[in-house]
Amino acid sequence: MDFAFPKEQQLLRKAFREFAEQEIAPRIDAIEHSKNGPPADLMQKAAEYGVFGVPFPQEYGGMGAGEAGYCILIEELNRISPSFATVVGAHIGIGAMSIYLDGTEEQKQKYLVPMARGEKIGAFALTEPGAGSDAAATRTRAVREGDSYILDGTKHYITNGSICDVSVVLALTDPALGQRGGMTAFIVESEWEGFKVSKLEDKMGIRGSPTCEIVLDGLRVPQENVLGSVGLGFVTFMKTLDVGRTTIGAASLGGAQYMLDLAVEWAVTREAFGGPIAQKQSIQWMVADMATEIEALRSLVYRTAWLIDTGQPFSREAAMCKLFGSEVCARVTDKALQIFGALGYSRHMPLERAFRDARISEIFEGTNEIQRIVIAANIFQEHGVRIHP
Amino acid sequence: MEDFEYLQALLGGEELPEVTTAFRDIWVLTDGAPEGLKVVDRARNLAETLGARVQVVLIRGEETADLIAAGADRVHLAAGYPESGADLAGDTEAALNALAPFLEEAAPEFILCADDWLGQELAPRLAQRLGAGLATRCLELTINENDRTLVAVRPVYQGDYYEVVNFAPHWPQMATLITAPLSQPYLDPHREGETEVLKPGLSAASRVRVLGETVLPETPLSLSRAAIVVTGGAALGVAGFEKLADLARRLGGAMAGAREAFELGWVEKDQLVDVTGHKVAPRLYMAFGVAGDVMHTAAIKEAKFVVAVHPDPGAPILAQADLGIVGDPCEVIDQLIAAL
Amino acid sequence: MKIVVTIKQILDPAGFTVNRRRERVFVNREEYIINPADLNALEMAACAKDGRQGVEVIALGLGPARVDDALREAIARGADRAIHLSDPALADLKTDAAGAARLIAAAVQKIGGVRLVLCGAVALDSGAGELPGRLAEALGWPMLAQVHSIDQIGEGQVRVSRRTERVESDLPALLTVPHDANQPRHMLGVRVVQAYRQKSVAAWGLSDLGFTPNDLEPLTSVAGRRFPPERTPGTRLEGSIEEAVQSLVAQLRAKELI
Repeated sequence: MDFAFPKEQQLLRKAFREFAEQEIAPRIDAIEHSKNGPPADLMQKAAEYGVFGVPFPQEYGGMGAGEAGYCILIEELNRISPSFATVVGAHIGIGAMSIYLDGTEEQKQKYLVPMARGEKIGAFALTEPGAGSDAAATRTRAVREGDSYILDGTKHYITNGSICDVSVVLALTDPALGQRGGMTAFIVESEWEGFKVSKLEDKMGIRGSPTCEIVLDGLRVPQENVLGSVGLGFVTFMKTLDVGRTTIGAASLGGAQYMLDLAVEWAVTREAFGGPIAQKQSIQWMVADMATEIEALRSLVYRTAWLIDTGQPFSREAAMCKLFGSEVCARVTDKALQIFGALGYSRHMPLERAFRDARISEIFEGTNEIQRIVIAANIFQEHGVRIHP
Repeated sequence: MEDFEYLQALLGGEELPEVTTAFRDIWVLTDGAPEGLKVVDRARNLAETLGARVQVVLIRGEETADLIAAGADRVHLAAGYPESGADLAGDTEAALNALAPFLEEAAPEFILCADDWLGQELAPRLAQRLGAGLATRCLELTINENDRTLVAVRPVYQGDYYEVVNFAPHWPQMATLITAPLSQPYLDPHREGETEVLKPGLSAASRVRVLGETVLPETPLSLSRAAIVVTGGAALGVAGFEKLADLARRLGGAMAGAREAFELGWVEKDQLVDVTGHKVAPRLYMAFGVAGDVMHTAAIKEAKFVVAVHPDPGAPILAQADLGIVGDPCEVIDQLIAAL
Repeated sequence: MKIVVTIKQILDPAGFTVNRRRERVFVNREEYIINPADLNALEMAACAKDGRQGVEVIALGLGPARVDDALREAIARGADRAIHLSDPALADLKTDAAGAARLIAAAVQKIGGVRLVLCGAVALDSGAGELPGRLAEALGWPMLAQVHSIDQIGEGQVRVSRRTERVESDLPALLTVPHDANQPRHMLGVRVVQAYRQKSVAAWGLSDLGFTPNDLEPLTSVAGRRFPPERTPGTRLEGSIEEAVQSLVAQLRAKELI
């Protein structure tokens, strides 16, 4: 067993960290206050450096770094700007990823390649007002008409919805069959008639990532844009979410590591009661707990990335990454705030934003409650019992 | 320390072994600048312990009086040489081609020069051509009493600590000296010395030609990479910031502001030095009118040398600065600019 | 046209602390970086390649096995390939700059067809600035020091800008590049991946270059450490403002800070 990060990944990490610290860090204010996603020149630079296609093979315009390389990217981006990382993550991890997993060769050439190059931005449109955790309650309709489908419905809380060029939409093709054979995934282009961005969310955190409501009104989608097989859209979407969970773990890892780094540096600098507060047990215990949880999360995330990259089953571990990661990040951020004390509470310090940014991780990409069901279902299935959520 | 050893040698404490090789004397290369005089002075001190002469090669002008007063026994004039009129000073190629054969024949035991263009550009090339060991940017030079080899102390990691360099018993041995900390040379107007003009005729060919002058475009210095950072605080006042910008330019450093200056709108966010802004790690940090609370000092922890000016003698930063001045920061900046 | 860039790997100063009172260097994290000025030299080579045909940039590094990482990073930052000069015999030898110059010169000759060698002007660790001059001499080439930009590369000459003058030199030539000459470009992600998968680093030993350990006995060696005096926080400069400033300027100049 070799637990070392290969040299290539170590250098990738260095490259991504440099990019995040030198290009993204100075623009955090602009990112947080923008309503249209990160500044265009920053997105351009990121595209030039290959950020938008990290896991995809080089023949599809990507970097060829696999899931492990992608986790490293998201970890490093999340240290500096969870908003920017969320834009990239939704684009790569669920938008482009679904086309990579289930697209035809023509679809990959037409959509995946420009997405990997950052020429087109992607989104993943699953959630509806009546269908969040209960994804099977999807109501958006897709009605066959000649050689196309007409889509009608509302999707909301869609990351990148207002800045995407391409999105993947789940719609009901046969209401009688529901999730088992009645839903189809479609690749939709934003400039098509009938695709409307209707409302931008005003969020607690990750405010720099645009989250919005999309209304599909008589949207005509050609049949060659069916992603995967007709009727098997639910499977395509669940498969994509499965892979994407790992990177939420990586995102949480990046955020938590950053909080720990800041807290440790403050602990050796800040003096109280005759010396740096690092000399006080209360601080030592907090730091030890934070570091232990982060170390455990790191092993979990990168082992899961290895499972994915080597084609082994990973659903249980991916759900664990998301569940454990989001909760670790929340605990670590909270402790970091405590170590900083009143200074950390100031809006001039990054902890306040980190605190707000971290909270979404327990909710989106499948709530932690759903993750627990996934993990338990996976375990009990090994013993012959199927869980019905 | 060198003075102590010199005294010891004078008082007959140690006697160095006699020269057993064909290499003789301490040679100094100089273009006549004051730094060169300091090196001649240092060579004089070493020569006393070695029982050697000091020979100087002057590559620009003919001002030999000070060189002899500082300790040169013989000055070789290379300026009027070669007849082609090439200006050896400032043309490393020409100087190397002109001097190397001469020095090879002269077989110096030691060759010294200042850490100027001669020390930086000529000395390494000359050392390789002569097959000589070289220690550059030395703070201290002494002679090993057992075998007449040089022992040098020189800074590493920009002066974080120093290394002691020994030379193998192989000559000539070369060193360049940091001259700024050396005291002014002792000039004895009664000393006598010879002057010789280098034989003309040897080629001073150069493969390098100067085309003209140029001015580099000004690139903005990022705070985190600047080697010098000058910061203004509330006690500097808004008018002081213009002077501060001027000072920064003259020093080739970056200008910054402390928390109060930023909140008063005197500097932008990317110029803020504070725990809520940027951390800096310059070699020289100067704070004008900055009180220096823990938010500020945490951001300058890695600065190598801190100078602080504040009108209030109780300002926290004065207790932490390597050098502090109690006074009006504006006035200090004016005086600094005048003195530079 | 081939351009060689010398790469030196140094101990990262961010990883150690110097305790002057105890006269010790504590290495908290043993991490290595590429000498910063070498990155500027690499950037200058990469710029010379932008927009020109037929330019190959080769990174050249001398040292133990870990130098391989630095050379891969150099490829990620713009070098087309890299050569690692490494030999177990070198570890014990503690080669000095004179020996290193001869080894590197032999490697440049072995590569063949090299027109320019770019070196960082000063290494952050030794601060000696000795190797480039020795290397120019070992190659027998002219040296242009402190070059800020390459303006023109002709058939037999190169034109450059230094801080205050423009200079021309015959080719082949060696250029030294200061740390403020340019802003090194980021590593292109796909180049990082290629650096480890598709591009290889060639390893050459002493015998490949025609040397035996006996040829490389060092002329100088590091025999020990000394430490600067402890810092004295809270020192005040007395007297009138004018006197205090004079004293300040003198002290800063003596420490080479201004």
